[in-house]
Amino acid sequence: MRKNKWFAGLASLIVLTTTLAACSGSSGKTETPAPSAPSGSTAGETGKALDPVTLKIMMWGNRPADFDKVLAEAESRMKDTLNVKLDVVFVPVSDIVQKSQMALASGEEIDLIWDSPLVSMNSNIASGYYEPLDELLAQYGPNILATRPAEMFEGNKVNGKTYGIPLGASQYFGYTYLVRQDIREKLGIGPIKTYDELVQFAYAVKQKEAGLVPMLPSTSFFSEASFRSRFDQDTQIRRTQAMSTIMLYYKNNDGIVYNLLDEMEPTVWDWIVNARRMYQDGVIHPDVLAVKDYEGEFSGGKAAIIPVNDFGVKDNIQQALAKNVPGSKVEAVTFFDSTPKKNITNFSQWNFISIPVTSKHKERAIQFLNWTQEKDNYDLLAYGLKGKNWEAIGEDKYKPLDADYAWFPYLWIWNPTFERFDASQTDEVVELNRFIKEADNFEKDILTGFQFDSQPVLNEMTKYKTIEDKYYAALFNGVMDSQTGYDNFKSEAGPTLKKIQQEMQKQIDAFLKR
Amino acid sequence: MNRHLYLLALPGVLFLLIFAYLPMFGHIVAFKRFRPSDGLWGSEWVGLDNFKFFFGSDDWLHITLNTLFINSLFIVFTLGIALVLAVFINELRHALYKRLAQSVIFLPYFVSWLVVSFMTYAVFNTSDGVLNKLLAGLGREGYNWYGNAELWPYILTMLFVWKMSGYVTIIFFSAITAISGEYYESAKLDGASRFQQILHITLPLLRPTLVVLLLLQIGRIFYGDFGMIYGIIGDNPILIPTTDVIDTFSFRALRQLGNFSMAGAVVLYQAIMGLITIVLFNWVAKKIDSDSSLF
Amino acid sequence: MVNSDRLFSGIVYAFIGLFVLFCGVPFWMVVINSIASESSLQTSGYMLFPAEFSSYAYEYLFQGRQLWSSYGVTVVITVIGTILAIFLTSTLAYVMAHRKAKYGRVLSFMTYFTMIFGSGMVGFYMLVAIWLGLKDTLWAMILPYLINPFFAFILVAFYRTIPYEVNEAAKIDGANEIATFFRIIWPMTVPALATITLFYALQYWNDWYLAIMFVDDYHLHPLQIMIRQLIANMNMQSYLQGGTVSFDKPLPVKGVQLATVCLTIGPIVFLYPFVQKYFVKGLTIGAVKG
Repeated sequence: MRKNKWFAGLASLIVLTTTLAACSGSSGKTETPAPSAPSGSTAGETGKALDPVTLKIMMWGNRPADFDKVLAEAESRMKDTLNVKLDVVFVPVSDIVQKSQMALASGEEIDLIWDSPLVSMNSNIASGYYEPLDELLAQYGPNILATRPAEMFEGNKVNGKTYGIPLGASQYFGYTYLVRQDIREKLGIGPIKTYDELVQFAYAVKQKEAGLVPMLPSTSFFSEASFRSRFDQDTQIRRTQAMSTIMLYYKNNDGIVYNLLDEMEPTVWDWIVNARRMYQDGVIHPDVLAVKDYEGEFSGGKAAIIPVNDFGVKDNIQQALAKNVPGSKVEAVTFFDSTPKKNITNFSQWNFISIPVTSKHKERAIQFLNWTQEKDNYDLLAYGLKGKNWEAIGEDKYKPLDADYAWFPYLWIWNPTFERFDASQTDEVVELNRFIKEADNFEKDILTGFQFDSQPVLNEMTKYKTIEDKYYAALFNGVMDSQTGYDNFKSEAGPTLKKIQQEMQKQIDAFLKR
Repeated sequence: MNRHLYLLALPGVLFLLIFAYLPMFGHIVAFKRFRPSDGLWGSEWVGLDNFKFFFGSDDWLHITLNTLFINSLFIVFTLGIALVLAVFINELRHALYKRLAQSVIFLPYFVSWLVVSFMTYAVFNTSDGVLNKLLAGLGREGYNWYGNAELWPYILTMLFVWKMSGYVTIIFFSAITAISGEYYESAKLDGASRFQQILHITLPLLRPTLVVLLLLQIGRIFYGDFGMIYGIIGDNPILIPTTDVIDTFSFRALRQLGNFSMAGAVVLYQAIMGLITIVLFNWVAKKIDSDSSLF
Repeated sequence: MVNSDRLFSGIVYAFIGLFVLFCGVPFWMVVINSIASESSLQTSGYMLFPAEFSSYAYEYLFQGRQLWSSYGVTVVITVIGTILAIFLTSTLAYVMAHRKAKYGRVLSFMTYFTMIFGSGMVGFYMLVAIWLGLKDTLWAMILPYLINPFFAFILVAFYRTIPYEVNEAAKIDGANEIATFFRIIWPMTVPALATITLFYALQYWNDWYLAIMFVDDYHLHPLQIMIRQLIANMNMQSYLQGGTVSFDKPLPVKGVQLATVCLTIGPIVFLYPFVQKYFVKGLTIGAVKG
């Protein structure tokens, strides 16, 4: 069964508007050496168990049915060495920010906590909540270091320190369009290899298939025009650390912050105008801004093309569609260019596990995480009880057997070395995922490790955000007239964005000079 | 005598002091740059800095007016319709129909805003929404409901009335039951119609309740219903101009920043404005009928 | 006269009928579609009569044994909370409404003030979690809500309709204020008390905020947290897990959203008719309104 890993970051309390992808990665034996027996655990040397300690761990999600059993097994494995008990608290994803910040602000003792730059990690670091981990890792976490490429740590340091262990299994995201293959074949169109062909297909659907909406982009992340940037091989337009939109962007690898409100980039303008044309022609869903569950629309057979950020087709979509529309087939169309070094990445990750400064068991926490970075222990916590929840297929694949355990390594232990592939992935997808796992396949962004400190321009950031909310999604999905929309946006937010751009450039220049 | 009265009120007062007044010190966060390592007292005092993000743009007035407008619609229509419903239900002759009506109009209260947002989409969406299908059936063209920002304060009002009328009706209904039957008896003897009885007995006797409910809502008129509005509107840029209220604005501006101080500043603004408003209205109410005012 | 009454009657029935439909039809959709198959929900959305039925959403909810413990916790909190709240609120409201209470208006202002200046989030959290040390206890979910100013003022409005002659009569009989309140006033305000009881019960029943903030131990989680957790995380899960919950059935995301509404309302449905019984003609000693 194909398992796709999506990680949805937090942006809203009720409706999830920001989504992040966690790419499925493979464990592959090639790039990082499998760690040897843990040498950092002091208990192993002395042969005696340490004092018993209960670690409090906070993350979001649902508590799986078998979680207590898995924890019991883990604790029994650690009994004679680390002697750690695990108190894991699950919080609904819509409330994790408030709860974690309340807890941290009031000095509660939490030992390990999940966080993300998409959520509040940057401000939490700035507020001094988290402990810098470099020394702890060097002393107690050799496995943690060994299972991840060095760039992964480098790309996520803040002020030169590591405040959270990066949790990820790939260095890039797999952007894809999901397409209704059966409709395509019915209309006699061949396999889609370029964006233009995708648009041709969309128009054909509009003409010939009444009742089926051709394209359904979603909110800001996957708005039609900005999604094009994911496949921009020529100028490599990329988002900056300041915001999740491309209003400020990088080009190629020149370390300069560009500003769309200052000077519109011709490529981006093409994308915007193109989206507008498609919206007016009825090729983009008329209610694109109001749809709450765009994957649901696709699974329900109401749309023919949607953008997603994972290679391959998700299981639940495939199944749902098969049931809802008999005879339907879904294919994944990506324009990702897997030429080594063609794509630029800064190795930033979106999931981290951090240690609050108020924890009284920092060393033990690292030791515990270190313990999880051994293949059998990782397998236990990531997939559950072998034989009951899952079975191994070879060294790097697995197959889930029941529903009593969930998959959530991205909340605490994820790394590229031990992550197994779902056994049902197609070879093509496996290849792509293997490709994006390797740090060497990417050109290193010269800004790797740069973090934007928004404190100096906090008021500008908040002011800008409220204005952007009024224009961006509408502009980039073609709902608003391009020229007037852009002009209004520019007049309202131009000066503010300029200030942010200048501050950012200043920080970048300082960073590059180091 | 007074002594016993205050003894009676003592538990309540103690409770208020501990659970309501004591935590109010936390409002001071609006004037500080809160860093947990410094604690609340040790954090740097920044005066009105935290208010800048909100008042810095011209939007604040527009957002405030949105909040007042939408809340006013909510208050007026919910109280009005609940009043009418309570009076009308009281008129129903069959006890069964009475109980049924009371219960059914109460049910929407339990439906979460999340589900309501889906239902709303199902009704108003362009491609296969209920409304557009109806229009098509009548031979008319479909309309892009989600594209017209002007409509949405009213659609929101309708949804709010749908969900909350039943709840408020209960209050009016229990007030009606407290009205002595003798009044109606003597009115009937005087030859008054049922309608006249309602006009001259029921409504005036319900007025204090209505005024109290009105005043209670007015103090909170600067607080928007975040759960509802964000749940239904989400981040739709087209609808933001007419439906953005102070709470949603603050949320959007500050999300991902996790800044208690700035969020606290906005809340303080809402609280102070609300206080000024209610003191004013309460004073007016007292002048008209000293029994109807809150304090 | 008769004709105008007939017309009026017609309007009454028509209006009520329409409003009942307005409320009832969407609610019917919630209930009936909670037993619709996820597939039918995805293809046709909410229907008056779904094409395909499935109890899977409910099965999914019931599979966690947590459901029963959550119900238990919620019931305990609701009962204890409501009883305590009625006591605290009615006594306070009575004094606020009392014509001869010297500081009645001050008390009213004090109470109302808290409605505008809610306790700041930070201060509130520190109080409950740290100073009172109520983390991971049932009391954390009961105590903070014991007085809701809104409900207090509803009671005040009621108490004000009781003519002061009642108090004076009681005083002549030698009763002090406390006895007067409990023995005489209390029975007279039964409809109002019933209303407030219902409202408090609903408040406790529906709350999730206190539990999320203060209760980490999942054994003490009330129903609403379980629901909130489920729904908030379900979207994530369906993306992540694919269909692994049951290999031939998609995750009932839409169905569960509806089923939880029905689960929530379940027990309250029994409370409401019980409360309705108290909406009987008040026991005010006839005559003049004060």
